[in-house]
Amino acid sequence: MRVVKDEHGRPLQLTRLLGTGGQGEVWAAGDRVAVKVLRVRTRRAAERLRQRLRTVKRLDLDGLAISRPLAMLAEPDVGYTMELLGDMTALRVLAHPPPRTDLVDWYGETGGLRRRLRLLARAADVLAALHARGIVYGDPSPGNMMASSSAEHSQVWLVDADNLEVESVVPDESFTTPGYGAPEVVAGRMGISSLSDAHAFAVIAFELLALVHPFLGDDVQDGAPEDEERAFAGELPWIDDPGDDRNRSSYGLPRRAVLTPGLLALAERTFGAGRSRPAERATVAEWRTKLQTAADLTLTCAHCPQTFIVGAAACPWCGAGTPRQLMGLMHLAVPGEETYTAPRDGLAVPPREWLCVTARTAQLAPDADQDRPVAWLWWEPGSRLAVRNRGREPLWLSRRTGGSPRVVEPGGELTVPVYEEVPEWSVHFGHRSQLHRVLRFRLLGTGRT
Amino acid sequence: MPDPLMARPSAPPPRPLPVLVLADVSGSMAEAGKIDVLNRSVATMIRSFADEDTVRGEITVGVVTFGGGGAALHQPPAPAAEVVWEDMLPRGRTPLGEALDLVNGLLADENVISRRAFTPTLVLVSDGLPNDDWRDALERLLASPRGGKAVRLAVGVGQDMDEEAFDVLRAFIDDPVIQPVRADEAHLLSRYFSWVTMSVTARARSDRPNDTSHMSFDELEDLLG
Repeated sequence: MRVVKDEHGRPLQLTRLLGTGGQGEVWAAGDRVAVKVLRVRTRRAAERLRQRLRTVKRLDLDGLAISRPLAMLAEPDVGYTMELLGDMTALRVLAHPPPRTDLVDWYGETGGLRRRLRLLARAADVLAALHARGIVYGDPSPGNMMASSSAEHSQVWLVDADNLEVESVVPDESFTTPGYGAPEVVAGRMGISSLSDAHAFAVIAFELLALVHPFLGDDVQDGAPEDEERAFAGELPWIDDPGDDRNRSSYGLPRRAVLTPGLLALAERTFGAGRSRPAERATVAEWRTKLQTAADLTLTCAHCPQTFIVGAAACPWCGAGTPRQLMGLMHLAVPGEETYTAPRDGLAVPPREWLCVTARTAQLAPDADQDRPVAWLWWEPGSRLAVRNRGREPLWLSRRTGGSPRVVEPGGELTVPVYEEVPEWSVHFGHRSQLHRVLRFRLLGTGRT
Repeated sequence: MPDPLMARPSAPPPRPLPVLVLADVSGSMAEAGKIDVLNRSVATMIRSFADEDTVRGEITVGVVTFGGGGAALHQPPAPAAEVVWEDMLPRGRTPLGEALDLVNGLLADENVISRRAFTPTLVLVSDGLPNDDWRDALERLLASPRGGKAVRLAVGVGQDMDEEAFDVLRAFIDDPVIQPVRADEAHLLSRYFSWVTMSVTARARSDRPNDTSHMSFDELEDLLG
């Protein structure tokens, strides 16, 4: 096993290869530390890296899921050590199936659609938080975004922080990974920016969900490796361009099965008009919102382990017919008004399974922790609806047919009978005298609420 | 019945990253255990490649032998994970020219080395002077689009390698930056192949497999030193 030393003479055993990029390799050295080893070992490369790390140290990264650089490596190696969260693997393992594997099985075994949507939403969240501080990541790629190895968890952590920079539009020596660099950066017209980060992130999201690169149509895939450079530079339409079929792909998963209409629209803006006009691209914050919404709209198939977007007539993975699907629609209740506003968010409500409602969908004001559970719901079709209050404020359940609302205090639980197909109860995340969110139920395909 | 939408979805296949070994199997390779070490080294290299979980390239391996029966395609190029290795047997003379022509034919055939492939790596292993007309064959190989672009490496094995024999290896490499390697003792051959394995693997793992400018020869010196 290879051993390197950091500048303080501490030996580091490189235990597990986490990812590789054009610049070098990132290794885990035990559970808490990762090491980036650059391929170029010149004095100039070392000096440039030292300067970059000095810049990164001055940036405010507090509270962000980004590995902070710790120390340079000792000569003759060029590289640095950084923080690592235990047991993580690069997102690339979710984007590139091993050759000759069954794609559908592999997609499910690696966490399926819901986990991919959640991981991507978290990654977008980290990037959006960076951008909000005027910092650009520079080189987002599936090799430097780490996710919890276990398919049950969806933590995301970015490594490779040496490319972080304050926003600039001046072309410089910025480094991007082939396939992820924005066309204007690859062509040397502009430097890295939050918009080039947005391009890279969109590619990662599309690849992880649909298992095909948005710029690599069949002709490019079947051509020589050099042909890819033209495609990466944005010289060809994207593979799903609605009006131009010069670069179609027969690879990957059907887009409608893995992307919601909202996500498809972001992809079209980013890879269509945004290819040559960066300002047209969807921002990472837009991706975050649509990815979160999409994840909330997934249901687990009753016949196979896969998850799919609510509303499908059959599970797109195994073809089994889907039982009637219940949607929770989040409206805004205005004090003194009889009707609610049009729903802003939706949640797929699985039968006989606890569903978490988080601060993000239930609260009006942004919470310090948007993923904080506010309530858990359990729906037993034709039998009951249970509500556990895990928030800090009381909840109210009201019945469409009237009667006084019933309160659920923080920490409490209430079960109400549901004899009809659709629960006629509404869950109010606030008192009726205040502006608040209210969750109502609707059975898909029936038009009944 | 799965959704017709989901009918046989497939991911784009990785691009091949071909490695072709040109192995001298003349009678003299039977001496000092050279052929045994070579067989073991190549088999080990193929196993390492098969275990490699690469991103953009899938390493394929082919072996062309040259010996008593002329040049032969001992192992047709195939993904490393699919190769069932059979040992090479030494006998007869050293018809390098024939082997070069055979390799040239393989490189030119898109059914063997797909146009999708990354730049191939050619590894020549020999223990003495060739005894056929290798110069013209080498000229043809170097003039071909793929043969000329290929990364060409060479190792001379055993005590019989004189300067003249190394000149043949230098002509094959045709690049002043890359020197032929001397493996006086047979066991050094296995270290040489570990280095080949490492450098090909590093390329396959990288985001730019066609960029061969970072090949590390210092590590090779460490290994053989």
